[in-house]
Amino acid sequence: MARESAEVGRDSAPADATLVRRAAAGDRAAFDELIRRHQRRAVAVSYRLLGNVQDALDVTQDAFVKAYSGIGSLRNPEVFSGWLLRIVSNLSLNYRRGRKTRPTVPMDELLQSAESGAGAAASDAMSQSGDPVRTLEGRELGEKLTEALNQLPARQRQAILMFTIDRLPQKEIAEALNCSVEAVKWHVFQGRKKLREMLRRHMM
Amino acid sequence: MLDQETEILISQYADDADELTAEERLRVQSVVAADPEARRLLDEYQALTAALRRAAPRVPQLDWDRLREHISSATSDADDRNRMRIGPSPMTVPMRWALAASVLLCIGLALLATQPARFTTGGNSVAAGPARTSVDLPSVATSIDVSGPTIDPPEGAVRLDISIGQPAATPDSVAAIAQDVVWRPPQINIVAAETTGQPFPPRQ
Repeated sequence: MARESAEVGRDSAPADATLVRRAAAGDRAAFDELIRRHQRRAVAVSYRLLGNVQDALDVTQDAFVKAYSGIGSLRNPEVFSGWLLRIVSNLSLNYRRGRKTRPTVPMDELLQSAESGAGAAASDAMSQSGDPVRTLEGRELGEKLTEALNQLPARQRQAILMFTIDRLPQKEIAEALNCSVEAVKWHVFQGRKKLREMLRRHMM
Repeated sequence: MLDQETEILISQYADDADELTAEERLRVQSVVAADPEARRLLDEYQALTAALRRAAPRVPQLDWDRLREHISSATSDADDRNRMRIGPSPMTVPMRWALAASVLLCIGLALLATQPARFTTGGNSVAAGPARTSVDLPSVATSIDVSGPTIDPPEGAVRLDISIGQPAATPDSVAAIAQDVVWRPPQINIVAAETTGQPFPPRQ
């Protein structure tokens, strides 16, 4: 996923800000377009934080419902993407406190193929080479990385997941984490420094 | 020994050189070319970035159009529920603040009304109650006819004798706070209440 700008479709399609204003005025089609543009990123961010596709889909749906009900209060429509990711992040972090009783998003209907399903975890992605030693090493490193990531403070983990893995722009991450771009850089650096120290033996 | 600023730049360069300015990129390249420690650090950060991206759990392939429909439908339902809600709409944040401020204001006014006004004389703070007077209150104990309440007396009129001040004021009960300033605790005593059996005497 390349770093994208919220200014989608400068040529013909309206920018996010335009869609936000239209959605705030009650234009449901405009909000549907915002869903189409941002749902992948929202699912990805939630999935990385929760590690479970079903939970990530539920959180994404909740996040869009919240975003729709609060879109009129968004003072700066240009930051919709980061604002949405902030909702997604907060909901994801709070999600484990209690599962919802309402019907969940039917994941089975949404999965396109079993092979690319929820089981495609870290070690699977790394074990595609035919070399069994590399496969084992890759699996071990994947487990160590997950373990090390979980030891980081929440802010540093979120910043690394969004910046290094999802490759979101720092400005958008700053909006999502409700902090400055400089703070994002600092969180990423601190987190990566700790990871490097924890994993040096496994990587080099 | 590399300084922290350089290490941050190297970490960012390994993560995504595009987030650096041209000047910062040149600086990293020249440091790495000249300093083996910087080169080793860059290698470590690049290995970490690659491992993180390989190890990150991949979001499964979903039917994104169907997911968008689900989310859109959930948003619509929530919107409809909000529109159909019977009774007052939920309070917005500004409304809650306004309510809280009103309650505090009422409490403040109530406290103000129950406390005597304060003034300062000769550097001393003196409480001035509504019954404050310069005359000797016990000496002017008086009786007041109460009329007005529309209560039918059992027979004839009810007479209340009320005195203001302490019936037997002692020097201890009168505090001399400053020269020419005397404070007495305000007090109303109902001395007697009786049914006279006679109609009210005409006012003099």
